[in-house]
Amino acid sequence: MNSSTFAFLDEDAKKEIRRSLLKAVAIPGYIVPFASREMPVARGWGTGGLQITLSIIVESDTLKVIDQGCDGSVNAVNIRDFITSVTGVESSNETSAATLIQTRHRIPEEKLKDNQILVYQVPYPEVLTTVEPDTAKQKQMHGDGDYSKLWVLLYEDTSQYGDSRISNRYPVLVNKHYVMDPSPIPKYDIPVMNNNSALQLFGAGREKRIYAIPPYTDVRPLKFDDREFKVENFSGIACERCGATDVFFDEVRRGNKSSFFCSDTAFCDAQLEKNNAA
Amino acid sequence: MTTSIDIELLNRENFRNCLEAISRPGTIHQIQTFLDSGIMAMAVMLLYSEVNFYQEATGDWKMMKALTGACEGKVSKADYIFLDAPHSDILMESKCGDQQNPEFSATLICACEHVTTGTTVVLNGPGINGYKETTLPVSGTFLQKIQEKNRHFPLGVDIFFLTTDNRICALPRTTKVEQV
Repeated sequence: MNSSTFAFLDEDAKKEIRRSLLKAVAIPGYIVPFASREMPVARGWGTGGLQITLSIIVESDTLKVIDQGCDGSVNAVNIRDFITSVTGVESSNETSAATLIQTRHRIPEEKLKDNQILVYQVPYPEVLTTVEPDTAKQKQMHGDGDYSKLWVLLYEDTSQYGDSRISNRYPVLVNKHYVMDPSPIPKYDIPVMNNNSALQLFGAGREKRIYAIPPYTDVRPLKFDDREFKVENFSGIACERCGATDVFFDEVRRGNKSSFFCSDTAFCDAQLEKNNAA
Repeated sequence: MTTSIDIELLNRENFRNCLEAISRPGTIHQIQTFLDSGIMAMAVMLLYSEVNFYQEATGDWKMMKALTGACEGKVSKADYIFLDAPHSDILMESKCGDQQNPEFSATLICACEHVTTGTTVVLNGPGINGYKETTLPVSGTFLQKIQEKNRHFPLGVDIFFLTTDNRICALPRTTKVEQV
């Protein structure tokens, strides 16, 4: 490792990203534009999260990278290998051991702590894209707090289907002000964002946007008062590997039979170890 | 002698402390000095060629401009404002963004006395688990001016207080301050 290029990015690039990060934390849920750099992975493969991680990482950090809860998927392994190769930091699969967690589409099952930072990889940062394609109008709508089109979409879904059809990227209201795209995490993870102890940072490299949720911030799914926010239902299901219940599951289909496994592989490993020790 | 690689190390460690400070308002973090100065350390960490700054603070600012490429300008245009002491007029003149671009606002770095000598306040808002009673190293009048400046969220300014023993705490625009 060449120490003069710690964390791959040059110092001015880091300073620009850091400036955006400070503003993003100070204005929770607001999307801050930044000059996304070329990275040694294609845009859309986690470059936003990667740039945030590389701009904030320090030698004393312990890094964890997950892709849909899994430490061992190709995307997670490659990003982890890249970051450790350009920084020399330690990495770990254990959620509690990590100080910096980069994630794609999941929040770890284990409760996060005060000293942890969760960096999300975000494909589409703008929550209004589905109802308003014009970026100038989107900016104006955020400025005016005008989310009526999202409410209409929610109303149409509710009146026709009884509930919203949005399965992931469910819009959330942050600090009672901005409506934000939480990245394509399942609805199951939305309540975990609320009042979380960890700092949550979001990076969209292709779309050149950064946003954030500070710790202990009010994050609510957009919903009508008389409607319950329903998350994925896994009642009666247990992980076939570790036996855990009340977690988010991956469904694996084998012919006509479905098997369920913990989506968070580190959690599953820890449960299995606990079971074996007992 | 301080080398360029030392500056990058200093910057990333100091930035992490600043990020912690602004994420959790009222918490206190130690920063490392640059040229024996806390405010110079903040400047070298924050400034780069695409930002403007204004300063009324002790330090070798000519060298800082050469080192970072940042431009010095008027208070009303400055992205970063470095002050040797809290200054209400400068605070009120600083830019606070607009409804569509609230990030086009100033960040103030104010040198102060010790954190323990100041005004006792109760903070609440994002980054704070409920309420937090603490002491901020500035006068009650200055805190009132901050509240006035930040009354129309998302417009506002974000402030780092830097004490003489090089510790920082931050007040982002979202933090509500109540004097005890």
